[in-house]
Amino acid sequence: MITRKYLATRTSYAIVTAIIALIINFLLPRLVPGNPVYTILLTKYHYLPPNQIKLLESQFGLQNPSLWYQFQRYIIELFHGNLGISYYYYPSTVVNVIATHLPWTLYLLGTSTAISSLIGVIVGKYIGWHSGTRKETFVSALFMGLTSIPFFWIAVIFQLVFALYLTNLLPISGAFSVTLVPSFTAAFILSVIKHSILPIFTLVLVSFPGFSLTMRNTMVNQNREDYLTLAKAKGIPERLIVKNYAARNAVLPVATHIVLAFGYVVAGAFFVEVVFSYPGIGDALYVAVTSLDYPLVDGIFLMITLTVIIANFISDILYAYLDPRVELR
Amino acid sequence: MSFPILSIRKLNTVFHTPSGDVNALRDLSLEVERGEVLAIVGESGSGKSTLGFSILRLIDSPGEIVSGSITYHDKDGDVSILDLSLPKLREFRWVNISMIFQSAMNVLNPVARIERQFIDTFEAHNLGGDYQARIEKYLQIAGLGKQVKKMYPHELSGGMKQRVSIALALSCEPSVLIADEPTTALDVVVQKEILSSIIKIKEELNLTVMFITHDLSVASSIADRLAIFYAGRPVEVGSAEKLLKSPQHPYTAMLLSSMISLNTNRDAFLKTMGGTPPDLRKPIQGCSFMSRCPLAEPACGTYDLSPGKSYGEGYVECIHPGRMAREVEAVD
Repeated sequence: MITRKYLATRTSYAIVTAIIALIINFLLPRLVPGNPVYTILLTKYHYLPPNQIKLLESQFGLQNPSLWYQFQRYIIELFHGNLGISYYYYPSTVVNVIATHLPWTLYLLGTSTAISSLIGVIVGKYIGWHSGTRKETFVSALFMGLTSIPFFWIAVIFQLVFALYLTNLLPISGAFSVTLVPSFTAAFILSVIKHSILPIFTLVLVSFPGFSLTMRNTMVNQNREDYLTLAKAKGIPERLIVKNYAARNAVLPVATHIVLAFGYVVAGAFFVEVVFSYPGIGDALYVAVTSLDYPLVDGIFLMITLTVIIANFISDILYAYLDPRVELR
Repeated sequence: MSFPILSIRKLNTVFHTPSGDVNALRDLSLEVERGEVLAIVGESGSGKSTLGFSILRLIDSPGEIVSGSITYHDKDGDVSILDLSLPKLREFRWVNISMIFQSAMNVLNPVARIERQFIDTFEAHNLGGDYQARIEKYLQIAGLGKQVKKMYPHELSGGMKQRVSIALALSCEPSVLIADEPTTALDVVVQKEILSSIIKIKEELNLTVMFITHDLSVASSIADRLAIFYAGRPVEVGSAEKLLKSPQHPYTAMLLSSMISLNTNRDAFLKTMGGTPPDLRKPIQGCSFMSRCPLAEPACGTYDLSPGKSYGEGYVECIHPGRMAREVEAVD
């Protein structure tokens, strides 16, 4: 049950959250010491005459160092749909930079989140139902170990293995072969898939155990539920008890976890993208932060914030749909 | 001549705990007669619920049925419940023996509509016929309207949930209904209603009811026979009428004298029973009630329980049956 009142309150909460996030997004990159003009240009040209620097500063909108002035400009431009021009990818606009990076990230993270949540729920359901056995204890301990491994460490290990020992089996960097031109041809698509295998595998390997353990824990608690005893007494086959009674109830908290994970898909996988030189949002963010590209950082943060707010919203609605007890008022 | 529908012989159920095995049922033997209401009465930990769960083999780890036999006397022959294979056990449950659980609030699957929880049971037992009509029929017997079918458990009150679980328990037309404290979680008014509908249904459907309760007054109002449980065994079994009038076991007598009735003297102190039941982790020699019994004497410690009698008609596990009741009366 979702009422109109609920939608109204939720929307106003979302707007307040967005405004706060906007302010923080704006301030954070500008609190990093340094000047973007020097950071970007002096690494390229070593020396620029002062009047050139002044010129660039005014082009970047930095001629007035007052944060308040810049914030006003930022908000005004934002409401005109203008996220500004990227300093690093000058003269590309921020929207353009995001548009070229986002599809790669959506593909990489969308696929790996889908795979890992699916595997996670299925494996978690199984080990949760068989909890207490020696096998289950071993698998759970293994998963706990896997979730605590950093993404980039696995990524580096894979690169090492596939660069040194299993050479030419799988590409270890980039999103597609440099000899190909992006197009909808079989050769290009195949190249994209091959390039994504290692990053996706890395992401799945480290994130599916998290879903599994959450599912396992909620499954274990199901064993104590009286409706499970009744189902057993009723003579329901075990397969159906697991599916319709235990897993159906255990999946509720996990569903929220999964939807939120999809919300973070747009954020990219910072370390994995950097290690595999994958041209996604994580990669763009890395460049933006290290070169003090304020507009690009702001743009990416804004996109992430909005998506996460929307994902929260969707997860609430999905929860109400999955659990008849939840009423969203 | 008796015609039992369930014969329980020398049943031992233990719970393995870190501090030792708890012998929840100790060499328990009991007969349940066809068509009767047998009330199992006892305090917490006396093994009454464990018996109900043992009959349907619902005892889960760390519990275990270690020995004994439970025989279901079907029209077409005897079924040894403890020897059934798991698939056979699954088919046996509910269509022969069903159960109403104590925890009415949590026995229904919260994410499924009521009708779904009936239909999956019918499907599990390959019952034919019109499912909807069947659901409506049993909901009506349990005192509920058919609109309940489409509802979710959280939309029902506690009493309605318990009625749904009664309807569920009857829906596959079993011969035996085990009611494990079906009214404990409910308020007195609803309790009364539920009890009278169980009795009404019992008459209509020719059921055998095993009614588990800690409430002697509830038991005496509905049962044909009573089995008084203490420390994992029945210490006295007999017809409700006889047992209430002249209790033979000191425990029964003391329980009865601690009951309040409308003609209890208002100024008198309520009689209570001192002490606690024995530790079931340790083997018990002789009579289990000895430590709390005012009539205890050395001979009680060697009282022999081993014959493992089956209690069809009256039975009492005491070396001086009836004496306590006479003494209580003398004091009054």
